[in-house]
Amino acid sequence: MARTLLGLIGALLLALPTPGQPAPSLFLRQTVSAEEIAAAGLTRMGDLIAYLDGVRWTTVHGYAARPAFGALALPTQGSWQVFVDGQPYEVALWGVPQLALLPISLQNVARVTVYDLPRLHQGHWAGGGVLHFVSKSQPEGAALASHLVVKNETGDPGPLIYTPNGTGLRNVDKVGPDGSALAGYRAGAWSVAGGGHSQQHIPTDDRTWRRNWTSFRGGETAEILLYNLYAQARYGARATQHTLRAQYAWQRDMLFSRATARETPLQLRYLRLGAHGHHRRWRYYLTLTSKDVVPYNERDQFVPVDWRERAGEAVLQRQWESRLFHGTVGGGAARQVLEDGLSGKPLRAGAGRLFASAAASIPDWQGQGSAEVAFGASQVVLRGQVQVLRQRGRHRAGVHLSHWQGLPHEYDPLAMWQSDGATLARQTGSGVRTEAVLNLGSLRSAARSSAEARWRYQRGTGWVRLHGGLHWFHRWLFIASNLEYLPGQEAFSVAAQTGPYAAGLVGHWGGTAAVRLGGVRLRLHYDYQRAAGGEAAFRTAWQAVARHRAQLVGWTQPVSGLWLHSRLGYQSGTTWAAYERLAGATNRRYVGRVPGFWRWDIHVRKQVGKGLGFIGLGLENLLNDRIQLHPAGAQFDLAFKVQLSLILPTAAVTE
Amino acid sequence: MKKKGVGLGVVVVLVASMPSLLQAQQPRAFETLGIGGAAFLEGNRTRFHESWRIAVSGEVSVLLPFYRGAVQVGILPMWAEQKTRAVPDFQAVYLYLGWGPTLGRLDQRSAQLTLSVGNYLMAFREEAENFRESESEFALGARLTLRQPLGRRLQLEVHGQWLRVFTAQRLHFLFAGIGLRYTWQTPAWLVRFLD
Repeated sequence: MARTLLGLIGALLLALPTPGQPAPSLFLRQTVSAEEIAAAGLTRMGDLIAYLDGVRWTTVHGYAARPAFGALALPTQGSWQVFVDGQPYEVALWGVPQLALLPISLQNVARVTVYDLPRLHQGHWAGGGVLHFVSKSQPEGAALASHLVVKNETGDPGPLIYTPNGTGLRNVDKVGPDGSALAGYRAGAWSVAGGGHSQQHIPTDDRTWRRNWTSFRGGETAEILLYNLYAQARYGARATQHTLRAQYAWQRDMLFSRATARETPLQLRYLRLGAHGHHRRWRYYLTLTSKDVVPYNERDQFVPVDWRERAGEAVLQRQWESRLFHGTVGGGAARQVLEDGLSGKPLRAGAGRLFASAAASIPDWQGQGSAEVAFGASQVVLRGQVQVLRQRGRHRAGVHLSHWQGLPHEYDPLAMWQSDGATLARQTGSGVRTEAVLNLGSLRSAARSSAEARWRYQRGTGWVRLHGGLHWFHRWLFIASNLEYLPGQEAFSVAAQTGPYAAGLVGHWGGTAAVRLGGVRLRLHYDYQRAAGGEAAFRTAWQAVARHRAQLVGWTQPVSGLWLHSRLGYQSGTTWAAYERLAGATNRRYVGRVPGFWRWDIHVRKQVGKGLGFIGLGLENLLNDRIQLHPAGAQFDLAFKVQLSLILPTAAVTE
Repeated sequence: MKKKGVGLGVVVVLVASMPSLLQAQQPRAFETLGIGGAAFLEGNRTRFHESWRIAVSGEVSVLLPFYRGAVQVGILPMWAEQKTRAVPDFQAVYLYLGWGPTLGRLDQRSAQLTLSVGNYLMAFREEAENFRESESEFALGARLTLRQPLGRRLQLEVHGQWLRVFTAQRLHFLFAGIGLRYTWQTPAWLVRFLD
């Protein structure tokens, strides 16, 4: 495989003189445009995560993917900061980002920018990188965009179920129909829009299903559902812009809980009000969110999760700009109330922060730095970052240094909540026993220091970029789950404990090359990471992050209104320490080690009615590989996808 | 097998970069519209065919010139009769969208290859345990069509078709068929919509 990759890198380098794709900034990982999202046939946020260069992904049921930049955080610790049009969103639940809860569907995204280094972004410190969605602009007058997607994994029993050869065969996954619609009206500086998206998925992976059978009584189909409704009003003039957004979402899903080391079927009700904007050099945002988590089936008390979170945050910042200098200072305050319906004991936490950033440039050199002091839970923490970049001819080289300390509730509200004596769930009958025993004393802040070096060479619009770095995790919090299998009940009990705080060193390197060959845009990415040192607990846990990630993407528009896209990706295998000991006893229902996989997808998209509509046809996993991911998700066969879009007026499809 | 597939994936991405393969050709896309009908006989011998035989099969399709070839949309129903009492009869329909290049012309005769993807819908006479009476699955087809003009607008078509249905144990069908196609100029409004 290494030879193949080297050969491809060589072929791309040879082709560099051809005009190609604009190179991203040195410290920006990737920008994915609306055109590329549509050409690739990406319809769910999970599709996007699996598509991003260098992102290791995990999944519980095979379709909703959870991201992790390999060298920044464990897959179960969602440390990405997510923004939509400059407004931050805390959509993580139990530390796992739920991007489907964002008030935007992928079809209405103009571009996604991805930063894989810690930074102060829009007045918000993002220790694990940034995922920033920018929505398509509204055209003057009325507009409507709607989309419908159906996807099906192959491998259903078919007629052979009636023959002896078909014994034991079951239906396999069906995704969708997923739908989204957004309608709006704009008159000059004023605009309003409202819409929503819905998703459904029937997971049929035998292991996942059997582990959760108690929640799907009597063979009831385990149907994952999401309804997400949102509305916004915006005023935008030259020096002033204000946006008000309201959102309500309901989700029935299986979310992974680190405390119980398994997926937990539950329902989530999510309500959010947010405002953001700027007036001259002042910027602000205000958010109020509410999350209620109850069991998957209201009548089912087997996993009696009952958890409520109310949170609010306000940030104000001021900017200065001149030809050579750019600076920002600001501050913010946050308040969080967590309530456990079982114990009825609310936990209140507050935090404040002050931040500043400055950037300056002289010929050939650019420097930038930012720092933030945050205080809460009787702790004061400091995070900061500095980067220096030099440009000479076609070469650019830079160094990025950062230090991050997190307040406990920021990186793990659940752990903090439980540390105060609350309980995730209690056993209420025979079968699955999911009581999490967590009496921790006070949590300490986690800390990480990083150093990264990057180099880029650009010729025409073809470019190649190399990166490498080290991340030193001074104190990292783990939840160690001691699972005990109860074979008579096809269930397990779990005693989960946080800690110990472990230290470790992670090294990573990789590169990206992009070029245009004829009319085809090609991009090749490879990324390697591993725990290079540290305590045994850290190195063991880090095996859950895939070492290798590679991807070759090619897409073209051979004629106006027709797009062809192909993607070939590889992610190496992972080991999940919590499951390793159970694999044999559970007849591999909990798999400690999953192998790496290749994934080849192709997609054809055709415009009809001069942009009035689009038809997309996609084939995924053409190699029929066993795409198995920790902690549970799986896709074992070829899948096909059909996508229909209706856009009115046609101008609404442009950014 | 996987290595071959990975290699194939890389080759496809690179071959797709050859622009000469992907440029618009004559006749202009969607310029004509042909509606055809055909009757098919199925003659493969697989494990599936130990329990069923495809008794009758026919097709209705629409053919339009497209970039570097033609697109075809069609519906191909088939009736599967039981060979043993242990299994039920079922009806199936292959709904497909295909594209393929014209391979060659000799006088007025032509040969065309069509690669199709679609949904294979099945309806069974009885319901198995943990199974539904109806089922659908992704299917892939490849077809060679020979065309002989019978007039200015009418053509005789002879088909050879391979069809693979992606059920847990794949189904493979081989069809031979004969049919007629009537072609006329596509209405301008439809060309504008499709192009």
